[in-house]
Amino acid sequence: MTDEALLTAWRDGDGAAGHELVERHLEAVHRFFANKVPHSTDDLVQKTFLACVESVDGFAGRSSFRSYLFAIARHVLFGHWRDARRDFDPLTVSAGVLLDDAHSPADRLSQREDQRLLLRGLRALPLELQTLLELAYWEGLGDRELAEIVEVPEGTIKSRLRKARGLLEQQLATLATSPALLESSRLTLEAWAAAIRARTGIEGGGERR
Amino acid sequence: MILRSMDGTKGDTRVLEAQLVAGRPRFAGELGDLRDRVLAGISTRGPRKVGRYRLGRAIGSGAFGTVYEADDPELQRKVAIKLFAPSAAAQSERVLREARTLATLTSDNVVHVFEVGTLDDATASPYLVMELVDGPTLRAHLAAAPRPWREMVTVVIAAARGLAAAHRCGVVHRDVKPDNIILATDGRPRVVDFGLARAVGDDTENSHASLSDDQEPTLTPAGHVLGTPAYMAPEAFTGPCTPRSDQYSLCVTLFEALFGVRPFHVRSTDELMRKVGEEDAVVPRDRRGVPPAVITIVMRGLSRDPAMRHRDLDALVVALERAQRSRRIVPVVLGAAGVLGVLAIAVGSASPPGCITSDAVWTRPDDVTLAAWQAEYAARWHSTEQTLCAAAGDAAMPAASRHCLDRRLGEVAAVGELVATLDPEARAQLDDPFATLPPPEECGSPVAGDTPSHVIVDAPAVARLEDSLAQLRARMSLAQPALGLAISTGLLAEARAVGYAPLVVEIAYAHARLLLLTAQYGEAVDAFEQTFHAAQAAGLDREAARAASELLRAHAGFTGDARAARQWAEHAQTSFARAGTDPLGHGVYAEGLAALLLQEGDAAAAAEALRDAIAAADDRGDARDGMTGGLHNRLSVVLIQLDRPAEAAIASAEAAAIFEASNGSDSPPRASALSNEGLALGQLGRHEEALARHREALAIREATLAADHLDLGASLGNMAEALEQLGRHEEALGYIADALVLFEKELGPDHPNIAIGLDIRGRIRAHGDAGDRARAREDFARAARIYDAAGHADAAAEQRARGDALGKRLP
Repeated sequence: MTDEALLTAWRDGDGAAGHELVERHLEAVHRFFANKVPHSTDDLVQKTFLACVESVDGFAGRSSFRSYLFAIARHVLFGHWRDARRDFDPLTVSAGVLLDDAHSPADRLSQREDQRLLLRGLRALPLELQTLLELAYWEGLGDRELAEIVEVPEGTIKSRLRKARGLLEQQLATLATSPALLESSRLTLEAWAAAIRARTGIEGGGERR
Repeated sequence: MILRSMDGTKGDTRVLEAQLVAGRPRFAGELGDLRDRVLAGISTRGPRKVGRYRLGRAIGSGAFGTVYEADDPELQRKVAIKLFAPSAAAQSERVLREARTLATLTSDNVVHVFEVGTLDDATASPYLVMELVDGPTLRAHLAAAPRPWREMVTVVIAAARGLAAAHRCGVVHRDVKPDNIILATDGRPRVVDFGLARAVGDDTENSHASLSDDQEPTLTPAGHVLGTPAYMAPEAFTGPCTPRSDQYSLCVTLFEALFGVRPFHVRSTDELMRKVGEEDAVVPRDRRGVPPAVITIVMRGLSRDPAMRHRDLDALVVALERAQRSRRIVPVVLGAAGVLGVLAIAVGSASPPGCITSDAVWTRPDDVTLAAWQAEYAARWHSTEQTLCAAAGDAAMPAASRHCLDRRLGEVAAVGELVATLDPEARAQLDDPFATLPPPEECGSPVAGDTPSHVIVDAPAVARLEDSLAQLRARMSLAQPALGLAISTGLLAEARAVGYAPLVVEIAYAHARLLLLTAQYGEAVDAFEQTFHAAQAAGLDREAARAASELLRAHAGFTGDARAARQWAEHAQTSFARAGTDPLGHGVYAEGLAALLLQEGDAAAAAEALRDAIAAADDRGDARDGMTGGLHNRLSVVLIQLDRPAEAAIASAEAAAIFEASNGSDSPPRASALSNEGLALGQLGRHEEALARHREALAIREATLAADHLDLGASLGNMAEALEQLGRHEEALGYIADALVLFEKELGPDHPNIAIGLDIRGRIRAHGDAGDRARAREDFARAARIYDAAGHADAAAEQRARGDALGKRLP
């Protein structure tokens, strides 16, 4: 069953469909909050799924369930921070300042130094840009879906992602405790770059003779 | 921490991107408690009610609200309810007024409005109770696969009818687009969401649009509407919506349905507004086989100046219907323009006395289906007669034409008699027998022309031969080639003895066709050669051209003799040049030429020839024939080779649709067409859909083919490829293993099919651990060796490159 069908069934009172939908997206929604709030994500995850089933206007012409789900998650997140800080502005304030102990739930899980470095680098970005990068690279969302989530044109998404990558690069350089660490974290990632190219088919075109 | 902005990045973005992907946190094992708490917090809720209706599932939503399925407990039926969002309440008055008008409207192509109401809560939002229409939107239909142009024109004609009905009631839709046309499963497309598209807050009603010059300003308020910009007419950006702006939007919709793109390629609404107002829409280079007549109609509807568009939607409907029908046979005797003019006279004035035959000459069969087929043929026959009569003016039509028409009547009678002898079961199997008889339209230039060179010595003998030939053709039309052959052999000898050349040619041609139909290819080639020479000697160019075309097709297809095929192609061209256009012969010619061009390695020209052959089949009314399905399917293969997947997807979808009707949905030809569609969709990067096609093809082949059939292997391999593209490596490995076992068993270990399979498996394994990657390298190396041995150096090099690329990544 598609996500859309599950959601509809859930709205119609089919609890099993709701469970299935939560099961499918729980990790991604948790991950969405895990590097942006200091403590438990429980409340926010739960609010997101509830809003998802209770919203009246449904999909409103969105291209995928995930873009709907993360649009809600983003509202929940921003609402959470707005409650906590009156001067909250996702385009200027970063999660790093919002977090008290400079650690996120995601931090506590990640073992490798280069991974924690990345998480910190992301948290140093304005919340909106962090959100965009994480959704693009962790959840594999395309420009169109991102545009629907953030409610800006696709062209704006492209330029924001570019800006976000630039800032992240800068942050990583600043945050790395030693140049050697930064270098090593990059070298191990070369293999990834190759794997990604293979996956997107640039290397292994799928035509048959 | 406030960050400085930084434009652009130095260095390789890909490294950073890879780092981002690699740093994705995983929580699989840590989610137990969270899951329990989230699930516990979620409760189920009872159904909501609107008026007397119980709301069910939401079935769609837009900017102005959500559409729900609902139960009407009073009338015990399902309905659709559109519930307006509170933000849209400002427009409620106009919405209610238009909805009430729509409720009085009965059109098969407009969704029916039953009731209009307002919620009795604080919002007082309006709602509409409507007919529940089951089916996908045109948008979804288009997204699923490219669609044949005829189907799209049919859908738009229906939508235009619905919109025209609304226009007559004074309601303008304002937001015509593929999302608002539903392809109902009952076969009647419906237009939905009337008059609802308006910018929020824009409810100034101080100006009024008139529907047309001679009508009162009516219900339709103006106001500057923002519907869906991509579909909006230029004048609608700055002024009121009118029936002609609806027409524009409908033509954008049709344009998109035909070509897969919208008329203007833009990135923003501002750019769109500018282009729509200042530039003419341009037909895309890839016309996807849409005929020029249809394109002309669409482009007229897209005129920037509303005055230049079609008068109204009724006019658009008439034009589209005519264009859809246009590729039919017109009598050869006159140029197309002449025919139209003459027909108008014939219909409008009294016919010459004694010329027009009455309906009474037709014996109506009891069988309803047969009667319908015969009526169709009779209409063509009468129309031809009328044309020829009118062309003759006050004189009688040429004797040869009259004789030709009479002979066609004799053939119809012979078919009727033969059908009467069939048992009910055989009758149920029948396909339209009249469709395969010689077309009456050709009586404009009959074979037995009364030229001095064709002198009838023994008139009674000729009459007897003509009767026998009618019997023979009846056999052929009922697909009894073996019985026909038993007649034709003796008949040909008899005709030669009588010595009347045109009839010798006709019978020789029929005889050769029968040999072909009974798969006696060598004999058929000889017989066609004799036919060609006899026709040439008698100066019968059309028959000569047809025989040469058959020889071209036979040599290019069965014997594989490219040199002979090329020769016959030239003979055919020469004869066609003398005979003029001939839809019947041209199809065979184009099909043969395509096979020849493929042999000669010119795939692009072959694709054109196949399109030609399809157009010819269309012209003779065989568009839905299984043979024509084969042409579409072959075309899709050639297009896939040419790396033109968008067109290939259309061709194969068309083939699959035709095969579904002619051979059945579970037939091997349909499986082949589905496979090709899957490959084309794969080339387009639409792997989910490709997978669905391959899965269906595999299911059909598993059910209909032997377990060791090579096509089954191909389907298994296609599944693996699609799954691999989707990153579902585990499943892909299973399928490719099965495919390789089958191929190795049937073809041995060194066949190129094995190399294709190894390539796929290698690419799947390349995603695995070091051991897998080592095995992947072995796969690539083995595939390279096979390609080398088969003389495919390029393919071999590609495999080696894959292996090498993988080697660099090994620790």
